[in-house]
Amino acid sequence: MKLHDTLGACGIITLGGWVLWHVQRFPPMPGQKYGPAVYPGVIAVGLIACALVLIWRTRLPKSGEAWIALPEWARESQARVGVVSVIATLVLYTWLSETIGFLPLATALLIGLFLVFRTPLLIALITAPMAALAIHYAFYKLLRVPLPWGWLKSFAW
Amino acid sequence: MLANLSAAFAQVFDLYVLGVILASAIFGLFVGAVPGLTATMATALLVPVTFFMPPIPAIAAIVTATAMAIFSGDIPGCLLRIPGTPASAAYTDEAYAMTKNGQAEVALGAGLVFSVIGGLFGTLVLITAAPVLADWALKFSDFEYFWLVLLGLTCAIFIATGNPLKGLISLLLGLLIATIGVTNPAGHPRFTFGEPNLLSGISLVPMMVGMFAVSEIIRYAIDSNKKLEVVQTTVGNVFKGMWALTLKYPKSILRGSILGTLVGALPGAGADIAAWMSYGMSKKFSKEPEKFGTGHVEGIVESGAANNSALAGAWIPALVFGIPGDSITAIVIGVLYMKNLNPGPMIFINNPVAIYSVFIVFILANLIMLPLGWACIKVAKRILQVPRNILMPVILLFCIVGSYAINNSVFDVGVMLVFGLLAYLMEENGFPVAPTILGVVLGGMLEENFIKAMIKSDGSFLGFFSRPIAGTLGVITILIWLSPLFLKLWKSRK
Repeated sequence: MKLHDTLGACGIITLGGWVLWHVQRFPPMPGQKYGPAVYPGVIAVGLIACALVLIWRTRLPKSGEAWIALPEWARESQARVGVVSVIATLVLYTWLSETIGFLPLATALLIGLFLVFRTPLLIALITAPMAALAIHYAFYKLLRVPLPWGWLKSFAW
Repeated sequence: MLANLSAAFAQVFDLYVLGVILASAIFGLFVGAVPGLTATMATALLVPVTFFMPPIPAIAAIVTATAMAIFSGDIPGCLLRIPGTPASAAYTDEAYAMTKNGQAEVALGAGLVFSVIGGLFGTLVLITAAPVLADWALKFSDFEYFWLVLLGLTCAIFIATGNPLKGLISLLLGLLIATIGVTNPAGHPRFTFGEPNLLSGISLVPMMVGMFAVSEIIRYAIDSNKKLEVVQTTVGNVFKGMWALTLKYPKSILRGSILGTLVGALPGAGADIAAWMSYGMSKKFSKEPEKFGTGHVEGIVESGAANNSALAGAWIPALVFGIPGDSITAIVIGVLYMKNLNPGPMIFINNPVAIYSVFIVFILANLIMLPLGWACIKVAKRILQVPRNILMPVILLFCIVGSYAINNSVFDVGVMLVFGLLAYLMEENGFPVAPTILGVVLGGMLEENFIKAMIKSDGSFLGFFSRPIAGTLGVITILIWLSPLFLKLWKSRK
C-alpha cells in the first residue's frame, strides 16, 4: 500500500503532536531540570519538523494522483491470499497457541500455508507434522523453551 | 597478553564452539544461497538460538554465518541472475554474463577467493585498529559519546540512504520506539499504557526478526508465483586461474579491501553499499572499462573483496564504541548486551579474552570459507532447487518460536508481526528500515549521554563543544547536516 508522502507526513505530525501532548503528563525528575519528558519531546519536535519539510517538498497530489494507491499485486488473487495467510498465521498463533498447543496448531498452520503456496496436498500433509516436530524438538528439548502443549497436555513428554 | 591469547585460543578451539562454527557456516551458506533470504535475516534467525549459548559460541555463530552468507549470495546471482543477498547485487549482472559466456567457475571462484582475502584484510584492520581506538576512547566523556552516537546516526542517514529526509524520519521513529518502557534515566514508565510486557521496552529480537525476516516472507507471498530458472552450465574447478587473477589485479584487491573496511566501519553503511561503491570505483580505474557489463571479472574481484571486508570493518565501531556499523552489527550489539559483554572501550580491559576470541573467530570463519564455499558451489544447483513454497512457511514457524523463546511470551509474536508489517509498509513507501533499527539500538545510549551532558553543562548547548574532541565531533556532525544546503548553493552557483 503506497501512501502519498503528504498523507504519510500528516500521520507523522499527528504522532509527533500526540507524543508532545502525552509527555506533558510525565512527572519531573526530583532535583533535576531534565525529566523523562525531555528526550521524547525533542524526538517528537524532530518528527514534526521533518514531516513539515516532507510536505513542503512533495506538495499535494496532482489531479489523477491518488492519496492511497494499492500496489499492483493487490489485483492478483494469489498474492492477496498469500499476504493475508502470512498475517493470519501470526494472529492465529498469538491467539490460539496456549489453548490448542504448539504441535497441533503449528501443523495446521503449516498445512494451510503450504497449500496457499501451492505445495501438493500429500507433500503438505507429510512435511507439516515433520517440520513442526523438528522445531518442537530443537526448541523444547534442546533449548528448553516451554512451548505450550494445549490439547496434548496429557501426552506431554 | 600471551596468557589472554592462549585462553582465547582454548575457548575457540573447544569442540562445542567448533561444532557451532561448522553448523552456522552451513546455515549461513544455505541462507545466502537461497534468493530472498539475506545475511541480516540469517543473523536475526540465529539470535533466538544464540540466546541459549555461552557468549563465545554465540558470537562465533553470528560471525561465521554472516561471512558465509555474504559469499554464498554470489551463487544465485551467478546462476539465476538473482542476488542471494543485497551485498551481491552490485555485480550480479556481471557474474551472470560470465556464466552465459561459459565462465561460471571463474565468476564463482573469484567471488569465493577474493571474499576470503577481503575478509582477512578487514579482520587484520579490526585486530590492529580496534585496541588503539579503544585506548583513545577511554578519555571520552558523555559529551564525546553524545556526539559520537549522533555522528554515527548522521552517517547512517546521510551516507547510507538515498533519501536523507525519509532516513531521518525512520531514525526518529526508531529513537521513539527506544523510549518505550522504564529503562530511562528517570526510571519512569513511558508509553507502556499499563501493559506489563512493555515495561522493559520493546524486545529487540522479535522486532528484528519481524523487520528482517517476516517482511521478507510477506514479499515472498506477493511474488510466490515466480519460477526460478537455473542456467544449465557445468561448473569446473573454481580455484583454476585464481592465482593469475591475484597477480593481474593486486591493486583492485587492495582497493576493494580498503574501501570495504572503511565503508563497513561507517555506521549504517554495510556490505551492500561497500560492494556498489567498489564496483563503481573498479570501473572508473580499470584499463578496460568498456568490458564491464559484458562478463568481465575485474569488478567481481574488487567488489567481492569489498563486501566481505566490510563485515569485519563494521565490528570496529561496534566493539569500541557500541555503535553498529551496519544492520548485522546492530543485532550483534543486542546479543553482546544480552551476554553481559557490553561493548565499549572498557571491554578491551575487562574482557580481553572475549575480544581475542572474536578476532580468532573472524580469522577462522574466513579460512574455512575456502573449503566450505567450494563444497557449497558444488551442491549449488541442489540448494537453488530447494522448494521455496516449503521453505518459507517453515522459516515463518521458526520466526514465531524464535520470538516466543526470548521471554516465553506470545506478546513477542505480536511484536514481531507489528514490526514485520511496519517494515514492509516503510519500504513500500521509500522509508529505509536500517536507520530505525540503529535508532532502537542506540536510543538508550543517546538519551543517557544527552541527559548527563545537559545536566553537566547546566542546560547550555555551548557546553557540548567545550572539550576538543567533543567540539570536533560536533562540528563534523553539524557540517554533515548542512551538507545538502551547501550542495544546493554550490549547484545553483554553477
